[in-house]
Amino acid sequence: MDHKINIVYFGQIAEGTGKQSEMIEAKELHNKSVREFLNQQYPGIDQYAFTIAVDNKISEICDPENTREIAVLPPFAGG
Amino acid sequence: MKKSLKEGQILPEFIADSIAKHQHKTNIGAHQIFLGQVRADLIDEKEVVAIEYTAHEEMAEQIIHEIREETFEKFDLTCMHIYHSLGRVEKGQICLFVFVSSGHRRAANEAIVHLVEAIKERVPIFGKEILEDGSHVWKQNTSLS
Repeated sequence: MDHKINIVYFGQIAEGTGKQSEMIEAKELHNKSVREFLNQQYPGIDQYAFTIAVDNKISEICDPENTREIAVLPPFAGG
Repeated sequence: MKKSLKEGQILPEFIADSIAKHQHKTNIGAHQIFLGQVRADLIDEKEVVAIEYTAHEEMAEQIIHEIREETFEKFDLTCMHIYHSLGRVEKGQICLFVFVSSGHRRAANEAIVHLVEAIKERVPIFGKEILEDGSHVWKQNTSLS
């Protein structure tokens, strides 16, 4: 079976995409950065500030076949 | 792993209880407490009435755990407690409670500053500021906020 990755969105990014999460095929990220993929899916998303976390670690680098989750995190606002 | 994220406001009674629980730990000579409170900011002349917090919970708990460990390593502390709200917290209510204890004041004083800055900068918590007319804006931490 093809490997799938869960993409999770938070805060204003979830508001912009209209969803909290979605499953994508790992192959959609072959030869493409996460940012490129997101820009393609959601044109204009690059106007927002966000950080990417791959399997709970802040990183832009993702090995699609070995990734469980990609989180798209807007600016932090704790406290 | 100890959980730091709590649904709703952090009650003053909970804070008082936490303090009381330390009275038998008589090697402690100093406590430091930081409380974050929801401020009724004015945004375009509309008052903030509440903040709705969400988080990448698994990642937030994991990062808070890392911050705890590194703070214990860096400062000579006896104990440390970190709680942050999730969900809706009304203006004037407490949303962050950080509590450190040590033998002497210096370690507790320095650790509390380090902890609060690290929490604001590194923990994936998001805040939707709800305005009095029902609209909202997204809160963003800066070095001052």
